[in-house]
Formats: sequence, structure tokens, C-alpha cells
Amino acid sequence: MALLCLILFGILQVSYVVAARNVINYAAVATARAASVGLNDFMLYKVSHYAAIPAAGPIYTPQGFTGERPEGESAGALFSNALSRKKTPRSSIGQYEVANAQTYHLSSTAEYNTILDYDNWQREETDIHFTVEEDDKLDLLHVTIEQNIPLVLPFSRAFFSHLNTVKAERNGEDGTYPAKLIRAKATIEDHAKLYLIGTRD
Amino acid sequence: MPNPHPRKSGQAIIFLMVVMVIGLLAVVWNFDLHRVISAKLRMRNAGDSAAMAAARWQGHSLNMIGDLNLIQAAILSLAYEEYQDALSEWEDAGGEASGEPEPEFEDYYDLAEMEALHELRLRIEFVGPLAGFAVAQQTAFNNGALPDPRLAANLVDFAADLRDEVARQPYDNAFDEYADLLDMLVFRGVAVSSYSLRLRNHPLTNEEFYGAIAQALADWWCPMYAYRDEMENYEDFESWTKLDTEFRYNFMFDLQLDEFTMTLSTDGYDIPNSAMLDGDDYTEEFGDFITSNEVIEAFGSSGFAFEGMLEALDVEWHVYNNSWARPWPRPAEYDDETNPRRLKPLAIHSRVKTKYNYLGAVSGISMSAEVGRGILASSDNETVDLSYRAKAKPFGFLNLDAGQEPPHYFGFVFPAFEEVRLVHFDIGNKVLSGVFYEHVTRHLESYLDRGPEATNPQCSYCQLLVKWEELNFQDGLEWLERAYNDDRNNPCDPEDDGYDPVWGDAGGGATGGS
Repeated sequence: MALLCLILFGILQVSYVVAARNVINYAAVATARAASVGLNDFMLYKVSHYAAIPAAGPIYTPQGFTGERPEGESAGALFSNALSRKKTPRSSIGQYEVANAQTYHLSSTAEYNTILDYDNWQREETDIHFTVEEDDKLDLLHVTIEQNIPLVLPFSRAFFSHLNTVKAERNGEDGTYPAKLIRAKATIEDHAKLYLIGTRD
Repeated sequence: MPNPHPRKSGQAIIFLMVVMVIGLLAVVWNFDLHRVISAKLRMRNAGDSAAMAAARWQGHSLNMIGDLNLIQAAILSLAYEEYQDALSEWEDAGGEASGEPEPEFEDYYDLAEMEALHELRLRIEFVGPLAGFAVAQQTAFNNGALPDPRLAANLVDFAADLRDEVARQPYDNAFDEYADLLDMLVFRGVAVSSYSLRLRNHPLTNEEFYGAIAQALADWWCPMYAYRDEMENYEDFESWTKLDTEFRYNFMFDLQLDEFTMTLSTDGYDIPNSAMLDGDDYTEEFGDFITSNEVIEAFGSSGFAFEGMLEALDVEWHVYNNSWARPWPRPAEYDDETNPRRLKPLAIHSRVKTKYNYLGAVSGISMSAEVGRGILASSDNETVDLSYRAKAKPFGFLNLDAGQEPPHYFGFVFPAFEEVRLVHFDIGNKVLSGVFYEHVTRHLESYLDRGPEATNPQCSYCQLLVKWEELNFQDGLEWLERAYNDDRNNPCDPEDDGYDPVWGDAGGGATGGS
């Protein structure tokens, strides 16, 4: 029976990693598209993070004055809420995430993490990181996104502990979890190069 | 006799089957997720390529109009040369004393010919962008876009409105022809829209208001600070200021041009408003440019093009309107203390080149489609709504002796557009998503007449209006009061704690990634 439980959670954990890979791939494309029209690094940060919300873990803000999180399912539980504008998001959090896409993107450096923030973004080692390389000869941009996804389901140590471990927050408490590094690359034409002065550097 | 040791191995098989079913569900769930993400990526590609194709047609249309302006200038140049010869002969013959009437310039060109050229330009200005709209549809379909039946219905409504339109038409039957072409497009299937309305300033026509409702639902009231008056005075739906629901459409991919006739004033000749020069600088540089133009030279006489243009006072030209003279938003620059915060900067990494620093024609598109949730959907109606918006722009410049200048440097439209690039969605006039367009044009009127019960249950903005009625405004106002009374720790106006020194004053200033 214990073996079957191990297999069950193993399947769920692998499934989560595959889904997260899909999401990070999408985030790479979204970030590359944003870079191609000349958005600055702060915007790329927000675009890469918003596109990868489904792999961000439970929501961290808004918490209001009381410090209590809004009721509803966590972002990780409802991937499709964050992937698209649904007519009827199933939870208040889903509705919040979708309705605030524009507000989040418009926010300043002092505001953005008061609008949307998630457990995986709290620590450098589980946050999303992006790099943009310019290919001057071909006018291309190569964008790489990577994130250490903490694997928090029961028995995950049995499958992933040999990869690496990270400290991550879960529901306000620190813990050490095995992690899977997911890296995605996207290449796109540098449209802004025609009309903007200078380069990203 | 009962067996004292019943067999238990069968229980493990049941559990194993449960595990296998859960495993299968996990695989199918991933398959469905991948399907949705693939559809989103396809929509991005289709949207970008459609915007580029439309912008390419905007550039073609502008170049054709510019060529016709040049041809008109060439004809007038030839006419002016003949007129000059006739004037010399008349003067040689004694002028007034000869008894012959003094030659008049307008007798040396055919005004009907000029009017025909003008109507041709008007047709290109009006129908050229619509051709771009048609090309955008085909390009989107070629890149995997799905037909949008709701867009088709909206376009049919738009065509019907156009047929009833009583405003001045650019040429006879222009609106009817435009409506016929729209109907033809709808018949073939459409996927790409370019919804653009002239909206008055009202919370209900502002997307940010709906975002603020969603945040208030999560007990985060900061964005509602802008709507304090509404919260204080709201009793029911009848409290809203009435909205003019007769919305004015902007035409798809408008080229942003004006018609212009040269006039004489006490200061000399009036020049187009969008021109970047004035006075003697204008006269000198424009004269040099137009008399050395290759197209005009090819007609046989270019030496009098400048005089021909200035003195043909009954001839119409196509010029750039004032939107071309509007520059791009300032970039939010790192550590730029000179950036006036009153002007909202755009979060781009550097400034726009001077020769391209104009708005003018921009092709903005929006797409939406419903994708089935996949194998795990509980019914066929369970869909994921995808949407995407993109903008592209024709780029060009005038090659002058002194260097490269923007196309509207002299105000007149001349062929200049050779490049097309994607630009950020906040550049140029706002293009609405299909969902918001429908909400504003179709749902708001019934909401304002009959309240939340009359809203559309399929519309997310309507749902937020229903939630608006349920908000506890008193709690919200108290929340905001507490926030704004706390000078040191106001969550709505947080001070930068220096956590992000890399970005400096990077600004927000962009509504999204595209």
C-alpha cells in the first residue's frame, strides 16, 4: 500500500513538473515578445512573472490590513484562470488575477508586489529569472527564462531530492524542498531595433 | 464454516486501479493544458502577423496617396511652366496694352483632372485600410487563427450602422461600399478585429474601474481611491451619470490624414498643421525637396513644382493630420530625475529615433476565441476564452540633403514608408478587446436602464458590475481612510524601499507585454 501511495504522489509530482514546464515555455515566449517591442527590464520582469503565475505557488498578496489571504483556491490549483480571461473564474483569486493583469503591468517598482505576489517569488532561489541576449547580425533576441520549482507534495524527496533543494515559503512558513530547475528559451525578431536608439544594454 | 483468514490481496488491486485512474487523469490534464497553451501561442503568432500585414497595407496606401500627391505636383509643375511661358509672351506683347487678357494659372491645368486625382486618393484613404483588414484576416487564418463568430456579428452590426450613417461621406456611396465590403468579409469568415470607439470619460467605459472592483472583492481597495465619489454617492444603478450610448466608431486602421487646400493669408501661404517647419525654413527646404524629386522630374519638368503647388489655390491635397506631430511617450529612464512625472512615461528601454518619432497610422488588432477545455471538460460549453491584442506600424522617413526627417516634415503626404514593425500596444489610439467592446456597446445600456438583473451572465464585466452592487462601500471607504491616514505605511502609496535598485525609476507605464 505504501508503494502505491508513493507511485500515486510520484505521478502527481511529475505531472506538476510537466505542467510547470509548459507554463515556463509560455512565459519565455511572452517575455521575448515584450522584449521585441523594446520594453525595459522592469516590464520584462512583470511580463515573465505574470505569464508564469500558474507555476508560482499559493498567492502571497494581496493580504489587506488583516494579513489574511482572500478566500478561494490557490493559483496553482487553477492553472487555466491565469492562462486566460475566463468568463467565470472559479474563485475570487482567479477573478482577481485575471482582472488585474493591466493594473499589475502598469504598476511601478514600489507597487507591483502589493498587487500580485506569490510564495515562489519570495526567495531568490525559487523566483523566475530571465536573460535577454541580442544577436546584432540577425537582429534577433534570445530570451531565456528559468525557475527552480519547489516540489512540495508528500514523498517528493523520494523522487527529486537528488536534483537540488531550495528553501521556499509555503503559507508563511519556510521549508526546504527538492526542486526541479526548468529552463525555457525563445527567439524572436528585434522589432524595436529599427525605431529605438541604442540597445538593451 | 467461516474462513478464519480471509484473503486481502484483492484490496490492493482496487487501490492500484484508483492510482491508475488518477495517473491517467493527470496525463489527460497535462494534455488539456498543453492544448490551451498551444492555442494561446498560435493566437499570438496569428495576431502579430495580422497586425504586420495590416500595417504593410497602411504603408502601401500612404505611399499610393503620396505618389498621387507627387503626380498632382508634377502636373501643376508642367502647367506652371506653360503659364510662365504664356505670361512672358503676354508681357513681351505689351502686357495690358496688348489688349489681351493676362494669363491666369488656373487656365493651364484641368481642375476636373485634379478632382479626379483627389477622389482617387480619398478612395485609397478609405478603402486601402479596409483592404488591409481583409489581408489581416487571411494572414491570421494562414497562421492558425480560429474564426470568431461574435466578431462577425459585430461587423454586421457595424455595416448596418454605416448604411444608416448620415455624416458627410468622403465620396458618393462611400459608406454603402464600405458596408458591402465588410459584409463580404464576414461571409468569408473573420478572426481579427480592430475595435475602436470614441469613449467619453466615465467609470463604466474604463477597464480600470472593473479591475478596481475585482481588487475590492479581494479586500484590496487602493484602486477604488479614484472612485471615492462614486462609492460615497452610490445608491443603486440609477445613481450613475447617464451615458451617451451613441458611440462613434473609428474606422479600421485609419491613416490619420486630412484634406488640405493652399490658402493665402497676410503672413503668406498657410501650410499643413502637422508640418515640422515654418516660415522661410519651410519655403526653402520644401522648395529644394519638391523640385529635386525624381517622380516629378520624370514628368519632364520639376523646376516649377513648388510654385505650382503654392499657387493652385483651388486644388486639394492629402496631408498628415495632427496625430503625426504627436511624439511617442517618453521612455521611463533609469535615474532620470528630469522626467516630469505629470507625463506618464512608457516603460521602453530607450528613446525613439527622431526620424521615427511620430504616432500617426498604427494598425491595432484584437483577437478572441473560445477553446474547449479539452477532455476533462464537464460539458461542451466549458471553454477557455483566449484573447490577444497587438499593434504594428508602418515606418518611413524623407531623405533630404540635410539628413533623414520624419514623413510629416513638410505636412504633405509623400511616398516614404518602406518598413513595418511591431510596436507596443500602448502606442497610438486605443483598441478594445472584443469582450469589452461588446460590454460597452451592448450591455451597458440595459444595465443603466434596468440594473444588474438586465446584465449579460456571459459577460465578465457585467458580472463585476453585479459584484459592485454587493460591495460594502462603507467598509471600503474606512479601509481607504485608514490607508491614507497612515503617512509612513500607506499600502496604496508605498515608498520604494530600494529593494529594486537595478530598475531605478523604471516606471510602470505599459498595459501589458505586447
